[in-house]
Amino acid sequence: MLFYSFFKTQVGQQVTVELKNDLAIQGVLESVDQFLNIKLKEIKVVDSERYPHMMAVKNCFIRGSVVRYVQLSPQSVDTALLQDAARREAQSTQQP
Amino acid sequence: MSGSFFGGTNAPEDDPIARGRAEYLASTVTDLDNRLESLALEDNLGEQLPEDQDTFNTETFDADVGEITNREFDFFQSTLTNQAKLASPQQHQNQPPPQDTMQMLQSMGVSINHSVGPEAGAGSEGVDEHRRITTLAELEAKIISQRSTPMSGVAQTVHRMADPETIARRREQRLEREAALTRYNNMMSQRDKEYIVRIQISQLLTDDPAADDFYCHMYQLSRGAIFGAMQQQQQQQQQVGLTSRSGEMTEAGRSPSVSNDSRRGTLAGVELQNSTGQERRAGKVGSPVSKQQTGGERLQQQQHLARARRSNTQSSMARMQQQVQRIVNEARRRPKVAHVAAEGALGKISVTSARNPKQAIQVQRSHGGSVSQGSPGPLTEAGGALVGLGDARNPTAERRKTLRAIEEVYTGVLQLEQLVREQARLPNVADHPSVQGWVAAYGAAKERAWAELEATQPILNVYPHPLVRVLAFAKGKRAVGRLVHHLSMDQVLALTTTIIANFESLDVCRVGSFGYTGAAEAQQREETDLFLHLVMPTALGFLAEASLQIVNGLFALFMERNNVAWVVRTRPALVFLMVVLGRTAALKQQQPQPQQSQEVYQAAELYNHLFNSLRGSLAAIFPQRPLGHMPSPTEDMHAWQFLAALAASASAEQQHALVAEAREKVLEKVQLAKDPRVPAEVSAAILVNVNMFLNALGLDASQVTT
Repeated sequence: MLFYSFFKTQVGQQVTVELKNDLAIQGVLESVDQFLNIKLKEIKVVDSERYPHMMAVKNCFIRGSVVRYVQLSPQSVDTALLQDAARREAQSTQQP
Repeated sequence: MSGSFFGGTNAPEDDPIARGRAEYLASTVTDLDNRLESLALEDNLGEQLPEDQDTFNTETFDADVGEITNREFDFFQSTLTNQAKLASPQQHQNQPPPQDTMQMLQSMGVSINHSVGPEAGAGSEGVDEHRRITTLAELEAKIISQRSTPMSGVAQTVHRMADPETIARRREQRLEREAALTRYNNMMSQRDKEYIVRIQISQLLTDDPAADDFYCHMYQLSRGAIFGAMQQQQQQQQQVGLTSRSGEMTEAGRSPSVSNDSRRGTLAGVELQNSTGQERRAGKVGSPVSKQQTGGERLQQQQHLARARRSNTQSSMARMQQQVQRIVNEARRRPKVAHVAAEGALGKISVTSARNPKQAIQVQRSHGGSVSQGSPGPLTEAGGALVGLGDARNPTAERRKTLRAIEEVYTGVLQLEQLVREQARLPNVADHPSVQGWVAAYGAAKERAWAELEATQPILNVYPHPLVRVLAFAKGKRAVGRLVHHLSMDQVLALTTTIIANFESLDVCRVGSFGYTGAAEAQQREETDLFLHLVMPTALGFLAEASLQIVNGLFALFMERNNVAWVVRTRPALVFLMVVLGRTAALKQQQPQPQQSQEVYQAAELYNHLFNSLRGSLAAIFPQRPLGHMPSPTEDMHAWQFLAALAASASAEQQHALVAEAREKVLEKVQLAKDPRVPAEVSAAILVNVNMFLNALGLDASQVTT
């Protein structure tokens, strides 16, 4: 649940999602769910000459399993808090 | 073809041309008006027209089957009728259109009667004083010419709209579109849908947002809490309730958690504007007929639809909220368990939920220092410079042990912070069982963290001291910095003592702060900053409150255990000494009998000792700036501050000595400040620093003559 929680705070931010097929899409994160499926709006493909079929696409839904990277801006992340959250997550998964 | 359709009282002439002419002459616009009205109304959200306005199948609608089949439908006549009406819209606009089709047709029939009368037996011509009569050829020409003349805008649109082919075609298109979209509707009942939603939401529900949804919850608390923690927690529930059907977290759902009504309103408004722009549901917005409305009308229509949709959304959200509330209550009643074991079955079935996700494969490595990774490495090793110098026999194991200890401290810190958060919710009574439980938990967590630091024994056989090793890591510094908020005074004293006793071996003091270049220097500087900002303040704050005895004790310990002349090159040591000296001076002034008390005497002794050990090496305090670098205003601020503190407690003779030693440095700085290459604010800062020292002596930089 850590990444889901993390991405919830990123909703509304500009992110760049790089997929496993090397397509990189830049857009505003509209929503995320427990499988880390991502909905982007106002998208712009990073290397648009290679993907002309994406010219007219404004929003998209990306299945979580095909995401390779999500690039964020550092100001929107509270790293100390993220460390704490990661520690808690590690503890809670180790407990049983 | 002898009977007429309705009533059949008067047989029209068999001559279709005459009939057509008669009807042309007598036609009214009434049917046309009706058609217009019906068209306008018919496309209103695809509803059915009321009976009296649906005039399309009037010819056959009310008739019995027998009537229709027994009699041949008079296509030609009805076509002519329509065409005639088409050709003369303007002539009869003033006549009030009768609503009832029967009435209308009867009036037609009546007029037919009238017109048939005087023309009975006449051929293609007839004369009527009140109407313009024409020959058949002229009639045809007139029709054609009227068709081809450019008609006025309204007439044109009327013409286009009234064309039965177009109407029928458009209607069919619309019906086809609607049918395509709704062909597979209603596969699931409302109950089915609610069932699915319930399952999905129950996977996501968290009773305790601080546990499951830690990052998001804390982030929102820290970044935007307008109303405070409790309300945020309440709204967390609503927030989950407003997630969309597939359990997504959307912007609209986020708005209540911001708990600002105006913002929620604008967010909802934006959402709807987007939806009206993007989601064009068939037939709702932008149907073909409405395009022909004026712009203003369409805007009104859209606004009306948006309002309807907004209230729809709100009511559906309210419904979902209630649904989720029901699910939450049910979930609370029955706690979900990760493993299900049926009765009589052998073994457990693990239920995957949000709290018990499918585990990735974890490879177990055997613990203990079986993996040796070579030498600790050069100064740039991650984890602090020279931290690997733990146990000489097994540096890696020592490192791991220290890291483990830091994590234990962090665990304790997190628990403590969580308990502090819960403290707000506890009742005020002291001997309430929950309060006692809380106190016990708090104490236990604190002890656990504290034990890891091993700060209770300042001097150990192990070199370096475990606390020092903990502080060698950046995250160790952070952990200690956070822990000290929860420690008691005694514990802080113990911590400070330990640090002071082992000051030399601290990583920030190791080889002096000024011996590095490049990347290592940056790292060292960072670590020093961390230390100064996180660890020192508590220690120093403690000092600032302590009595002279304690201060003296710590001072003595510092000088005893550390090579002062060497350690004084480091910033933390300088800061520490400065604080000690300042505190001593302040306390001395507070003493009622300054000359006689033992502590003061001791303090003076210590001071002299310090001075003597520093004599001759004062110039080394200052950081060496590599040639060619621009001077930064703060690089030697701490050195000057230290000198100022030193001078403040110095006797006259000591002050002379100080001046003598610092002279060169002072001169150099003043010269630098006057250098034209140095920017104005930097030189001003330099002068300020120098003045700190000189003012303590009663001098000023302006008195210095180069």
